[in-house]
Amino acid sequence: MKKNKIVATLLSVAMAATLLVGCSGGNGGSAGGSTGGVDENGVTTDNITLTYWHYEDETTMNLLAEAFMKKYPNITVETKQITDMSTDLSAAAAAGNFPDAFCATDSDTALANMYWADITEYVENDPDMDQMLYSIKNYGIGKFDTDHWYAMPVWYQPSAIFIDRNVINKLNLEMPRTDWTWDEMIQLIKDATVDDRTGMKYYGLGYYNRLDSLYGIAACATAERAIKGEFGFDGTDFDLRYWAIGEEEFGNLKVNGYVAPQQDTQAMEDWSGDWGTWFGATGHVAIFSEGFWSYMNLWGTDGYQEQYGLDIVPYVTPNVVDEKEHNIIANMYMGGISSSTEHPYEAYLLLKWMGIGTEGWNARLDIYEDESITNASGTALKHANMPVPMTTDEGVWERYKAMFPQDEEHKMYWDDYFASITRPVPYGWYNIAGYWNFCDQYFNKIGIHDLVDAGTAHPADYAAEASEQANYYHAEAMISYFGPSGYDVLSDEELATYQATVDSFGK
Amino acid sequence: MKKKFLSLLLTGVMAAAVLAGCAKEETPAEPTAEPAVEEPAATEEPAAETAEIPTDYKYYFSLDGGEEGVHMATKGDGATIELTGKDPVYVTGAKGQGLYLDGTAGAKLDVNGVGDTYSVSYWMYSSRNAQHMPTLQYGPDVHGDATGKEHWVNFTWEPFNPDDTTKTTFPIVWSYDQATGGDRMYWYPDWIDNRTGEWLNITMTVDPSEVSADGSMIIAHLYLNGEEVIGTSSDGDRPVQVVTGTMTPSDNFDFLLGVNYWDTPFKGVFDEVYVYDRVLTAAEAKALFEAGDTTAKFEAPERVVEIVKNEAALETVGTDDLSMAFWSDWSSAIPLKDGETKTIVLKNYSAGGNAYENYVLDFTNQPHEAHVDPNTVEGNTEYVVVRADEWAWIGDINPDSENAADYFESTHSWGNWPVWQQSVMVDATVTLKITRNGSAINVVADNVDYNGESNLMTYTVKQTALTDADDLYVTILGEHCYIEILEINDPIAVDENALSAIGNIDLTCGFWSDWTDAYAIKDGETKTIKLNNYSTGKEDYHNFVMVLTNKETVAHSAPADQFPGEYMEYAVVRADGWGWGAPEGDANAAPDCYNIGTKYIGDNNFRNIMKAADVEIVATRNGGEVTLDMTYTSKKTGDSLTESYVLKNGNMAADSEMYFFFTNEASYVELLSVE
Repeated sequence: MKKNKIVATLLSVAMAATLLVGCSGGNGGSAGGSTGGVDENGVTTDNITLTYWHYEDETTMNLLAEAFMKKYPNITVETKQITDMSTDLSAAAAAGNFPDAFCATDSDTALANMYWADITEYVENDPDMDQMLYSIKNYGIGKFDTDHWYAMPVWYQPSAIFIDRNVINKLNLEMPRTDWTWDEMIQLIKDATVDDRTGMKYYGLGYYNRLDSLYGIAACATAERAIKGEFGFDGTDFDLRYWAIGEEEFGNLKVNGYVAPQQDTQAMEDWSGDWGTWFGATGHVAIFSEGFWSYMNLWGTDGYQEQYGLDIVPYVTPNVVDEKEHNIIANMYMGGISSSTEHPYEAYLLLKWMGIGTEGWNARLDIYEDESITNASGTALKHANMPVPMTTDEGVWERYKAMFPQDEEHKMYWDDYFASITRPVPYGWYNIAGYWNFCDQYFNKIGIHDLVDAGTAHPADYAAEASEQANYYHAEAMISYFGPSGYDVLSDEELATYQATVDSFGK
Repeated sequence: MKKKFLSLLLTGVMAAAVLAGCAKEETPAEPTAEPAVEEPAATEEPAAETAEIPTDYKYYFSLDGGEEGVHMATKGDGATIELTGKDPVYVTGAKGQGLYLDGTAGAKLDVNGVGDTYSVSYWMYSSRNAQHMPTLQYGPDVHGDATGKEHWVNFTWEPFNPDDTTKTTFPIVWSYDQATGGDRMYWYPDWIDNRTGEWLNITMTVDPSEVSADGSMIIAHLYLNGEEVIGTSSDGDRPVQVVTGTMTPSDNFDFLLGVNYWDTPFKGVFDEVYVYDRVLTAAEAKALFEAGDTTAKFEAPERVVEIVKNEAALETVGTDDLSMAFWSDWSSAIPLKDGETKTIVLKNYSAGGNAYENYVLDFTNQPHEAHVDPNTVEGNTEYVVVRADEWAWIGDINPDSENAADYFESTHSWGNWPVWQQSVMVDATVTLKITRNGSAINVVADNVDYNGESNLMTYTVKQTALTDADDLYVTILGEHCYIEILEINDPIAVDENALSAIGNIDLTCGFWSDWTDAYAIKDGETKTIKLNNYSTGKEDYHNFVMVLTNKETVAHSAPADQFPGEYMEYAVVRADGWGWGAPEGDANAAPDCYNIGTKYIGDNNFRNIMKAADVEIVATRNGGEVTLDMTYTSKKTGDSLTESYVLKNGNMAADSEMYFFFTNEASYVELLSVE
C-alpha cells in the first residue's frame, strides 16, 4: 500500500517549526547525508536514527526495536525508558534532543506544550488502523475530542475483576455468569464475606482499583448517557452523579467490612498476622478489582497459585445494565510523534509498531512466546507487564490468548473475558484534556475518598460542584490546547461552547 | 493503681497459625515484575580484613537491658516526640539481648552530636516496613523545633529505586538540611527489596572532607552486614551522600530508634548501637557485623497490657483484676430519647479469654443508679441487649423474637476474631454512637486498639415492643472486663433562636457545603460574634471557618454563585489557626502568615474543647486590616483557648466593601449574635 507521505511530512514539519522552537529536532538526522529518497511505501531510504521514549519493560522494547530495524535496515532505533515525563521531556526540549516518538502517562503535559504533532493524515489513510478496537476507532481515543489525531494508544491493559474459584467453592457459593452485572458482583462480594470467628475472615473484595473508578464507566446504558470517559464524561462534559453512586457503594462496602485490608497496614497485620502480606496471596478473598497485570506478573507465574492455594479466573468489569457489549475502564498509555521530528512518517511507523499496529504486535508475540528471553530481573517478558492487543486481528488474538491458561476448566473464562474487552475507555488522565488539572487543583484536594471511606461524607453532596469543576477545567484545557494559542483546530462554535463553560463557572 | 496482665495470644503466633507457608513471600499488587533482588554491590576495594570492634566509641548501647539513656518514645499529636516513661522491653538480639519495639513506640537514646566526622552503627530486625518508617534517625534539629529548620539523617524505606517506584527498598539513606533550602537528598541501593525479616547491621561513616563534586554534600560510606554498598544518590552520583552537619552537637539533638515526628513507627528489634567521632575503617565495620549473629531467632515478646486507672472516669464497671462475672455490676442507666443519638466513650480492658468477655449494652425502660441491678428496679423491662462481639438478643416481651433475621442487622470491619478478642479488646478505647429511632436501636461501636487501629461494629436491632412513647435507657455492663466510662455526650441541643445554623447535627457535612448570611464590617468597626460550635473532635478542621469577602451573600447558597464574576475572598481562617486566601504573589500568601496566635494542629485539648464550644470572636477592622481575637470555651468543662489573626492583603483596602460569613466541615455551627 502507498502511504500518504507527502501530505503528512509537510504537515508535521510545519508543526516542528512552530512548536518546538529551540529544539534541534530529535536525535534523528541522516547518517551520511539526506537524499530525500523514499521506497515504494514512502519510507525513507536514507540512513536515519529515531528515538522512542516509553514506559515499558526495557528488554521488550529493545527487542521490539530490533525487529523494527530488521524490517527497516536503514533506520536505527534508540529507546529510552522515561523516568519522569515532564522532567525528561522539558530537559530534552531544552537540550535539543527531543525524542521522535514518545509515550505519555498523562496527555495534558504533551498537549499543553504541543509536543505531539498532528498525525491525522497518517492515521486516517492507514488501512492498518481500521483494525483498531471499537472504542479507539469510534471514540477517537487520541483525538482528544477534536477532529484531529494527536496520539494513538500504545499500551493497553483493561480493568479486570478476578475471582478465586477456590474461595467460592470453600464458601459453597456459585460462580457467577461471565457476563454478569454490577449488582451481581456486589451481591457476590457480600455473600463471600464470611466470618466463622475462628481466624481469618473471608472477604468478598480485595481492591487495587476502587470500585467507584470502575463504576463511572459502567453506570448506565448507552441510551441513557453515552459515557466514554471517567466521571461520566460523554465527550462533551462530565456528570459525576454516576461516580457518586459508585463511590457511596464502595465506601459502604469498606465501612461495613466487606473489603480486605491493604498491604503494609495494621489492619493487614491484624487479619493475616503479617504486615506485608498482599490480600491476593491469602486464599481468603473471593473477588479482586485488580490491575490486569496482576495475573501475568504474579498469579500467572509458575507455582504461585499452587503455593497460596488459589484458582484465579478473570471476569469482565460488569456493567450496571445487562448489556453484552459495554465499555470498560482501562489503562492506556498514549503515544505520539514529536512535533520536532525530522522524520514524521517513519516516526509514525515506529510508534505504530511499538504500540497498536498488527505487524508490531506479531513481533511482540514472537518475543513473548519465547520464555527463554528474560529481562534484567530474570523475568520472562510475558510476565513483565505484557499489554493487551489493541488490534482486532484474529491471528494476533489467537497467539495472544494461547499464552493464557488453555485447560478446559479455565480457557472458557479467559475466552469470555477477552471477548468482552473490545471497548476500552482510558482513565481520564490519558485522554481527557484538563483532567489532570481538575484532579490536581480540585478533586484530590477535597479528600473525598477518605471522607466517604470513613463514613463522614456522602459523595452525592459533592457531585454537582465536582461536575462543574471538571467541566471548567476541561473547557479551559480545550481552549488552551486546541484553541488559537494552541493547535488552533477548534471551530468558532466549539470555541464558543467551551468559552461559555469557562465563563459560567462559579455563576 | 496499675494492673498488668498478659495478652493471651500474640500476633506473631497468629501469623504462624493462619498463614502457615505463605507469610514469607512479598506479593506486591503493583504493575511490575517481581523485583530484582541482587546482592549488595561490593566496592572494588580489596576485601577488608576483620579487625576488633573499636572501643573508642563516644556512645555505645548494648541494648541488653538495664542501661541508662534509653527512653521509650512515641510520636505525639502535633508532630512531637513524647517520652512514655514506660520500661523498655528486651528480647533476643543479634548479640545478647536487643530492644524490642512493638510498632507503637520507638526509643530516644541519650546521644548528642559528636562533630562532623563520625560513624554510626546498629543492628536491626524489622518485622514490617512502610514508606518513611524510621529505623535510626538523628540530627541536631530533626523537627526544626530549635531553628525552624529540619536537619537530619534517616535510614528508612522508600520506593526511590527508579527500576520500580512501586516498591519500598531498604536501606534508603535520606538526609535533609532545610536551612540550606535544598532538597531532601536520598540514596538508594541497587536492589529492590525491603529487607524485612532478617538481621541487618548498618554502619555509616562520614568524613566532611570527602565532598561531592559540587561541594554541597558529604560522600559517606555505608556498610551493610560488613560490606560497603555503593548504590545511587538522588542527584545521580553513585556513592552515598548526606547533607552536612548531621552530627553537630545541639541542645535539641535527637537520636531516635524506630520513631520520628511524622511516620509509622518501626516494629522489630534494635541492637548494638555505636557512635564514634571518627571514620571507621572497612575492617572495623566488618568487625561490628561479625560480632552479631544473623541467625538469632526473632521472637516478639508477650504483650503486657497495663491498666492505668483513669481518675477522671465518670463511672467504672467491674474491677481491674478483670474478675467481674456477668450480670454482677452495672453503670447507671443513661437515658436515650426517641430520635436521639448519644455518644459514649469508654475504655474496655479485658483478659481476652472469650469474645463475649467485654462490654455489654442493656437497653431497658427504667432509670437506676450505678452498680444497681436493673432487674431489681420495679417495672423494669429489658428490650434489647447488644454485646461488643457483634451479638444481640431481644427480650422475651417480643412475641416474634424467634424470627431473628427480621430484627437484627450487623456488620464488623475487623478480619480476625482471635486478634480482636485477644489483642484489640484487651485495651480498647471505645466510642459508642447509640441512636434510637422508634422501635429501632442502632449501635455503632468504634473499638480503637493500642495501635490506634479502628475496629468498627454496627448493630441495628428492631424491637417492636418498644414504641416512641416508651422510656429507654442504656446500661453498660460486662464480663471479665473492666470498663471506664469516660464521656457521655448528650446530643446537640439545637438553639432555635440562632440567627443561622450550618452543617448538620450528625456532624457529617462536607467542607464548603453550607454557609451563614454575610455581615458587613466597616472601617473602624468592631464586631463581637458569638457561635455555638459542635464538632466530631476527630480532626482539627472539623469546626467553623470564617470567610472575609467583598459581597453580602445570603445563607445556605454557594457564595460565589450569588455574585458571578464579582465575588472575591479576602481571607479564610479556620478555628485551628490555619488560613489562606491572600492573592498570589502577596507577601502574606503563605497561609500561616495570618495567624499570630497558636496553631492547634493535632492538639487533642483543642479538639475536645471544640466538640461543644462557646465561641466568641472580636473582629476589628482598621483600614484594610482585620484582627480577629477568638475565644473557645468548652460547654462541658469551661476550659478556654484563644486564637488570634491579623488579616490583610492587597485586595483589602480601607474603602473596600467587606463582609464575613461562616462555613464549616463535619460540624454543626450556630451563629448566635453579631453585635
